Amino acid sequence: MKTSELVDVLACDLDRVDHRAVDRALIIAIFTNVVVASVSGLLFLGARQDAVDRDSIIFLCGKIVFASILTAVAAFYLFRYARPGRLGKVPAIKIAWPLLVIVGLAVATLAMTPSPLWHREILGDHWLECLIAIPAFAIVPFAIINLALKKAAPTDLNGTGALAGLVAGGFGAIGYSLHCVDDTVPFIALWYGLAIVACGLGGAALGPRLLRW
Amino acid sequence: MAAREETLKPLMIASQAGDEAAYRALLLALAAHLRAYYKRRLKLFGKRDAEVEDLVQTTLMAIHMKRNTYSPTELLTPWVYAIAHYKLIDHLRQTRATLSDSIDDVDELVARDDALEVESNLDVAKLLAQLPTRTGRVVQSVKIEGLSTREAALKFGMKESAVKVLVHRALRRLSNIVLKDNLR
Repeated sequence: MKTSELVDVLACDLDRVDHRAVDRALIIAIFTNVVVASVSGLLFLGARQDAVDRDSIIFLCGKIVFASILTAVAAFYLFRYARPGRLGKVPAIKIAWPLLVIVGLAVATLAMTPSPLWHREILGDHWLECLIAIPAFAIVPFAIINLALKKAAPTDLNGTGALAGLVAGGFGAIGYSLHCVDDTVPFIALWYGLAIVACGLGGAALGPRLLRW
Repeated sequence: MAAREETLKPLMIASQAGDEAAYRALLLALAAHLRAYYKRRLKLFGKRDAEVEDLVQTTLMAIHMKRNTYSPTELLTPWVYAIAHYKLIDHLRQTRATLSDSIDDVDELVARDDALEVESNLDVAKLLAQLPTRTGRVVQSVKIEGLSTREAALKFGMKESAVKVLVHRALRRLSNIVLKDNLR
């Protein structure tokens, strides 16, 4: 087929398209995921069952704020990665800084804690549950984001996959935080951090397969 | 580059609004740019002209499918080149993967008559044959014989909207087929 023939075929009977469709699909996916994350956290594990005191409320909010900031930062760059030709590679530090902040806070906390208590501060009661629940709660959000990305045209598939994984991991963390009773900063930094990073790596690995166009 | 941006961007914005003439002009201009772009890069790999044309067409089709991802607040040229680059990498990866596939391909390469006018390996008839019969006939009428959707709807006894949806889906499917195996 000659290229001019192809151009005729493509131009004939041309539909108008909406350049906002990509952004809209992503925004809908993100709001859907807020609901999905909260419902799955409450439905599968249930809300945290300890006394409602000041400390537990502060930590519940802290976890949600941490996960939300991380999700928002990754989502911000996901919007850019979803379209061709918008800036080159974003340095990892610009995406991962919320993780570094929480690790810094954890180190500071440990520095102020006598070392015999470190074990308890770091491991908490349910580190394994945390490590499994966050990626598990991230699966549906990840699928929803990938569905929205079908409308997009990412040209860096690993990078876009990683961002999608981080966003999903952030939502997984929000879901799990509703149940989690381990209220120490080192616990959040280590186990939430690891689980979310695992989601990002998983997304990066799956990107080329799921997002190719 | 700046001149190119200034002429092509308005064409793209009009195309997104459904202006066929603008879109045709845009695609033809882009085809020329893409041809130069791919020729330069594929030379290093000793590729044939038809392969350049394959890539130009694959990229035009990708641009068509993804034309909604261009935002008028951005520059058009980086958008086009990001797609062109993406398709080039994809192409190189695919050809490397299939080079070791079969020795028979070599004969085909040698036997090919390069003196003929450069055309891509895409064959419309063969492509259409991969669609269900009725779909293929509808696409043929609308996209090749140039019937309007309304005429096609009358001819095939369908609703006009159904024809549109059918053609749209078929094109998407054809594009997938082409992306998958136009490089064999």
